[in-house]
Amino acid sequence: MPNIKSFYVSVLSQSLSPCEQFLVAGTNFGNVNVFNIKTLYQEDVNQGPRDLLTLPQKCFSVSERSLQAMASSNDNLMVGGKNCIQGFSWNDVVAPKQSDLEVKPCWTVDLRLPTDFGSKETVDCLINGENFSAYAACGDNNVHHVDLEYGKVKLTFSGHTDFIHSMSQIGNQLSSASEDGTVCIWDTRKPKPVHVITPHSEPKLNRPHLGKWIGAVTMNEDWLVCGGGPHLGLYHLRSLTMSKVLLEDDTHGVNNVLFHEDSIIVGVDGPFVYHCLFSGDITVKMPTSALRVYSICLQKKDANKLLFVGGSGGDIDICAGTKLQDQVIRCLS
Amino acid sequence: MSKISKRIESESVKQDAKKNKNELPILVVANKVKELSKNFMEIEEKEVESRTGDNDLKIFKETCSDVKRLMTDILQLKVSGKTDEETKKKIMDKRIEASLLFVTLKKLNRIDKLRLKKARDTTHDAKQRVDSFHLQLENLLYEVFHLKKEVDKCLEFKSKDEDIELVPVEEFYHEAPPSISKTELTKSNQHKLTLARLEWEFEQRKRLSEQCRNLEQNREKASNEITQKQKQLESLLPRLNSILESTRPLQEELNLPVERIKFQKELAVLLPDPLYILYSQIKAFIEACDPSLQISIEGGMEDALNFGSKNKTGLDEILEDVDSAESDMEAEYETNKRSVTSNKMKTDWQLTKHPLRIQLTVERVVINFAYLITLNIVVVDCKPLQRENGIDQICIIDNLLSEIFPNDHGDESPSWVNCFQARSMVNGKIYEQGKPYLWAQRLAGLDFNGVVKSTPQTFINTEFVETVVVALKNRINYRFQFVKVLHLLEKGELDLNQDSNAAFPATIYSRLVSWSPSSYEDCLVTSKNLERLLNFLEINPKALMFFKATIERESARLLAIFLVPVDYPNSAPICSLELLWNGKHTRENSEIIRGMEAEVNVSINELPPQHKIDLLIVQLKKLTLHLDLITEIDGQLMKRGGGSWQSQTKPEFSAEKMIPQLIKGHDRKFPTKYDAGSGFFLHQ
Repeated sequence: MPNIKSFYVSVLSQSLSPCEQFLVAGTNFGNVNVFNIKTLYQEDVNQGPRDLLTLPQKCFSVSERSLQAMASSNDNLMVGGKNCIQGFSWNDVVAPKQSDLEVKPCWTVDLRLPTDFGSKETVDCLINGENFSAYAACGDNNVHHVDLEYGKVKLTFSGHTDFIHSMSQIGNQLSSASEDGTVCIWDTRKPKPVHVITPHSEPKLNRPHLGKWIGAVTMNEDWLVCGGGPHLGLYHLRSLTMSKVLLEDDTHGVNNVLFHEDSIIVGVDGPFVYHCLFSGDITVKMPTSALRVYSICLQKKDANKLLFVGGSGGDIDICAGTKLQDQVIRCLS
Repeated sequence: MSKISKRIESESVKQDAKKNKNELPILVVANKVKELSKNFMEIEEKEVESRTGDNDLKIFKETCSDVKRLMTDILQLKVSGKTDEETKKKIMDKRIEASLLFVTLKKLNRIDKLRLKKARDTTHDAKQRVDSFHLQLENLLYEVFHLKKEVDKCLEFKSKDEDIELVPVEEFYHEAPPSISKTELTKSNQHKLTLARLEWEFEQRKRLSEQCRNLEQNREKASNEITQKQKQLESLLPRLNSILESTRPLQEELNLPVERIKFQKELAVLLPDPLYILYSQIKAFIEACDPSLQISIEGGMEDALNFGSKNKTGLDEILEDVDSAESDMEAEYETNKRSVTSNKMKTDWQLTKHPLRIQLTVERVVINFAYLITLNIVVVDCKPLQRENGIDQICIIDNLLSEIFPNDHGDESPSWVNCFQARSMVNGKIYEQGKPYLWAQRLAGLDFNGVVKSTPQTFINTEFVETVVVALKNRINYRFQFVKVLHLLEKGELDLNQDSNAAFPATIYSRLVSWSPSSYEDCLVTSKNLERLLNFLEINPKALMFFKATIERESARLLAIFLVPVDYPNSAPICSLELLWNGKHTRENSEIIRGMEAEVNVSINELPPQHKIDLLIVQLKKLTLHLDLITEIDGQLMKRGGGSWQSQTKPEFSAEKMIPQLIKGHDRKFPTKYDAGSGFFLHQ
């Protein structure tokens, strides 16, 4: 009988190794599952049982809390721990499992967050910054720009009143989507938001029964897409006007969104991943193994351009060519 | 020959007579010759005796020389040629003289012959005499030999007395009376001594045989006495039995095991081997380790006695039936009909139970072990010892013995052999008799030559009886506790002990409004989610008990299907939830419900062993608390625009719980942890 625990696993964060051959997935039980994607797609070479390949090659515990934030830099896997960011060497992480060798962080950056019943000590979102730095959205509702070299917080961006779901950065611009229903756009050199977008105040976007929370944001030079409780909205970055409501017919909240080539990939709070165009046309509506999509990860360099979709449930769908569900790998804890 | 000689003699006599008495008349002459010859012969015979051979030889030689001289003279005369008378006469004379000499020669010849004859006769006589003497000698020699043999025989003769062991001489003289020993006589004569000793021996033997006869008589008497007494004792048995019979009500009244034990021992002999092994093992264990158990053999002794023969005939009948069916192949219809009946008979016969069964009483449950003869398996069933008011009997017994060891559901016969004995029919019907659990087979020493379908690891344990008994006791104890828990739940009470209660806030508004046992099929119909959960867990539904619970807070109804493992509380129950409140919310469409389920199913608080049984109550209480939380948080989120299930303007429930942060994480989790110290509800 499999452990009942593995039935209640959620994949909350994912990250690819720099070589893009290994996928790490963080779960609600605070574990990091490491998958070898390369061998999975070299099935002819590897004669081993396929069932084994779909399971993590190793799994190690990072914290007791759910593992919400992970990011990958050139050498390190950064994981948001309790009141800290921990860095693991990719070499350690992807090394084949050795029972006696525990995976230990090679560095830890203390974030010095306020301890308030433990609820503010979390790292909710983590993205890579330039020059070995990272932006960490924490339980104190602020985004911290952390210099990893010196282990210090360079700048704190404060303006949100609830925790942050998602962040996106391009150049000096940083956007963050929060549970409080706003998307803040920051200049990375200034601690206060440059602009604040409130999608729920747009009647076209508002879905009061789902709430005003914004679960996902992403942007490029011209456009910003955000959504959550409200519909997914396409904003023009210069004018900050909402130009298009995307996925108008979908009834779920939005948890993930990212640009990929000409289309927008959207993970919703239900068992679907959408691919849609800027025009709002849906090109793909793909059902997922996860009951709700919480985490999407995309290979950028690899020729396969694999898309990894994780969420409520231990199964991570792997989509080849970013569109079709191809394989399923499974986190057990 | 003698005649011839006689004639010759007679002739010669005649010639003589002629010569001598020419003038005598012939008859007289003949007579005279006869007489003469007779006389002559006698004379001659006498002459022979009187004369000696040497003399005769001398005479013969003189005569021969005379003849020779005469012949020579005659020859000289003739040669001289003188023809005168004188000479003639002289020749004539000489001739006569010579002829006369011939007579002498003749006589000499005759005497010689006679002498020869005589000599011959004497030689012959002597020879005969020698022969007879020789014969006599041989006879005598033979006689000597024979006698020698006889002597030898006599010498070799053995008397019986040599075989008799006699008392030594000294002893003999010492013991025997003088009348027998006769010392002065026997001292010198060995023979007499022996005779005396023999006599003494004979006396002694006579005396001893007399003694023997006496003893024999005594023995006879004693054995007679014994038989008599035995008869008396035998006649005592029915009387004792009747006494025993009459004391039975008293025994029962006083609960004395006297007769029962005796009866059990008698029955034990009649048990089939597997049951006997099982009985003896458990009995020994009870005596050695755990007197709280009771074991007994149930069933009629007469049935058991009769069973062997009856069973055999049953088999024969069936075999006959099959045979006849085969022989009737031509009448096809007939055959079909018959084979159907024989098949039916076959299954019934295969399920024949041995009339004796073993009853093991553990705590308040009676476990029956029965033996199916043909299938060669032991089946087990159980029932509670007595009805307990208000407690659902089915809950106690259902699944009680299932999964005592992993994967041992007793659903199918553990013997591969049975697979080939009309499988479908057998497997279906076995349940009527009980279930063939593997551990029972093992206890009964049935290993099916090691070809058991699946052998749980625990079976390798050498102290298997103890393992089983402990497992049974645990299972039964827990089951009784569990039944009490169920009883409370049916009343809707979620009372816990002090320690466990402390982990919950004092006031919980949600109430358990219903709790009822259910079935697998029923639950499947009610909830589709359940199937997914069961598939994931790969549990055999037979190892689970199904219950339905309803928890209510005002309009919010939380339906929970509880899967309680048979070995509860060693394995934790699992629930599947469905919230009916402003729509239907399940694990599938709401992360909140999924989180709640996970909280109840996954994070099982380690309860102290004595309160282990309360696990189910704790889980239910958690559910009530979570329902409170969900409904309140939902109201608060509505106020804050965080998204809510409620569509009305005002939340149904006011916020009473202290929750520092309503929602946390990308998966928008609700807090689940109650911090008893601060009274806050926190995220995990």
